[in-house]
Amino acid sequence: MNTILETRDLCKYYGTGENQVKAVCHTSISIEKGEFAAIVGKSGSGKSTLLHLLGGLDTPTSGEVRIGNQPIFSLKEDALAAFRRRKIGFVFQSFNLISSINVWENIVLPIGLDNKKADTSFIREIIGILELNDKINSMPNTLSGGQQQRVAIARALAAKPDIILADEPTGNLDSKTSMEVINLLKVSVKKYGQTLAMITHDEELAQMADRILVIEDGIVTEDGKAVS
Amino acid sequence: MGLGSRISTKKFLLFTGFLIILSTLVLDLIFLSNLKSSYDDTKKIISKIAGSTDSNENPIKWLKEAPEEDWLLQGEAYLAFYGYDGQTKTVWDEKYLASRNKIILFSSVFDALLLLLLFFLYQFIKEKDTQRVLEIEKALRQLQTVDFSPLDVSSPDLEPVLTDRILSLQEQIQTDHTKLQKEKESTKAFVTDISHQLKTPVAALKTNLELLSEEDLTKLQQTEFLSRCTSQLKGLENLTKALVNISRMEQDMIQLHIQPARIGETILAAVSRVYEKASEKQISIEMPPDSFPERILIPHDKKWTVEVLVNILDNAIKYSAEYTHITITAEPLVSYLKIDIEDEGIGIPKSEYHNIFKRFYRGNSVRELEGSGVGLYLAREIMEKQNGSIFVRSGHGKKGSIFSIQFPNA
Repeated sequence: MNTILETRDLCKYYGTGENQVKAVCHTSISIEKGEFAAIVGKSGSGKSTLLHLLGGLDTPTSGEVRIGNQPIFSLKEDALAAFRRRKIGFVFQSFNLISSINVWENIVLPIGLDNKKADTSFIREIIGILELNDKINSMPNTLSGGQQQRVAIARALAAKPDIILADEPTGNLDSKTSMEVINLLKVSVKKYGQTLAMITHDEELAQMADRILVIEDGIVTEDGKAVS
Repeated sequence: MGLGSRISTKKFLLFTGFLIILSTLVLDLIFLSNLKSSYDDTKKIISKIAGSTDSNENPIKWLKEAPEEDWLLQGEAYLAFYGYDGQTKTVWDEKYLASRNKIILFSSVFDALLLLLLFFLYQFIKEKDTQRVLEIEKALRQLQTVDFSPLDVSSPDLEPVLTDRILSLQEQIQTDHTKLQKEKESTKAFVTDISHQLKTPVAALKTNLELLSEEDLTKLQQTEFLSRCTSQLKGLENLTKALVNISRMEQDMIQLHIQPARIGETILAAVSRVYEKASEKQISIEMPPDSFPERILIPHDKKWTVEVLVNILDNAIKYSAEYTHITITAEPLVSYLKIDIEDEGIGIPKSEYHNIFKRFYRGNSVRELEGSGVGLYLAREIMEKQNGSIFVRSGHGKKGSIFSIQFPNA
């Protein structure tokens, strides 16, 4: 009804002939605005490939990805990069923080790269929600894993993207901290009307989602049932 | 900015145009009078010179002194004498007239051009205004018809503020519309679910009542059917209670009163409500004193959090064998307080983790046990309304389940 992220017959194959690997296979899914969808799959099921395709980080063999009704692969490379910066926030398993600048700079830097002015009051609010208030001047390597992932989440949220794509966001965290971080992510995403698509192998984590998509051998099914 | 600035631009345009024309007129008059007076001076000097050809006076002297008025008359008389009587122009007459005409011509042309320019500018702005109004009108009309195709408000004539406002209005309407649509669907699904849920126990009750009404029943059979009816009625009663809670929750009729309170007291209130059931099965509910968070103040809605805990504890008791333990512990995290409720019951398969929080979902392994499948759904709704969460994992030693609820610290 109010679809923000959609794939149409999306395929990604690697290699040719007998060595061909079908990482993502004829996938048509749609994720609604404001939804928290978990894409669950074992390692090698094609889930990371799917997320990379959703985020325009990788090009499909066939099919398309639409974000807010814009087929993203019809954009030129520069336009796609700009589109990605404005519309999508990424959270990865490895936090990918820049170690030579402090927490605040890590959060604000991507906005500056896009030649936009950072909405400081909004960012302060996020920092408050993520309980990073007293850490903004710290260097990333002085923080715990959980804190570093909070910074990465704050960075993803700071540019007010429509969609957050998270790839095993708690892969490097213990289970206790994982649930806390997911709860925070979920609350902030709900609060700002954003959409969250999270990739995970962990069904314990996935139960926090509004909706679960299962990916197995490149084929996506809706919580056990096939998605038509 | 916005519309107001556009209107004042129009006014500003008119005002400046008027000012420029007025100032050219004034300047013209000044130029003309200067020209006239210098022409007159020249005429005076010439006439003096012409009138004093006989005298030996130095003509330079007259150039220095301002000529007098009567020289002019005198000079004109001399000039007339030489034939320059108004019809025949002297060189300076012609020069003067040419200059005067030039000034008048130029300033009239300038003013006319300016007027023309102003007129076109005015028309242009007016046109643009009309276009803008039409465009806004079109966009608003589209909004009214609940048409969610992308609005065409890309015209450069529209101020970005206005465009943004209209687009966000569309988004707002769209979101509301979707929400409404969703609510409609969920109500429909809800009603279907309810009727489905009620059908089975009502049918069973009906059968038992019919059996009871038969005459050739032994006392024992009567008691048996009666007790069946009673338990079915009880089940129905529980179901309706749960349904009332759910429908209130879904209709947003429940206002949570979230305020800092001792979570320990809330837990105790919940435990006291299930205590009887637990003791029937000799199940002990333990709260290790070192982690029992009696003094921890945490913002939560007491009444509804008790519901959450009762639902979890009810399940724990229902799906546990006799003489087992239920352990409640609390653990402060960075942003949350986590409360774990661990049982030694039948446990939940990993693949069911997500499903058990769905409305009316009953796991395959518990189909035969009584239950409505609404308790955990309600628990999740309540926890999410408190910005917290509920989740499950298997118990220590892979036995039983641990249900965890998280409350944000602030």
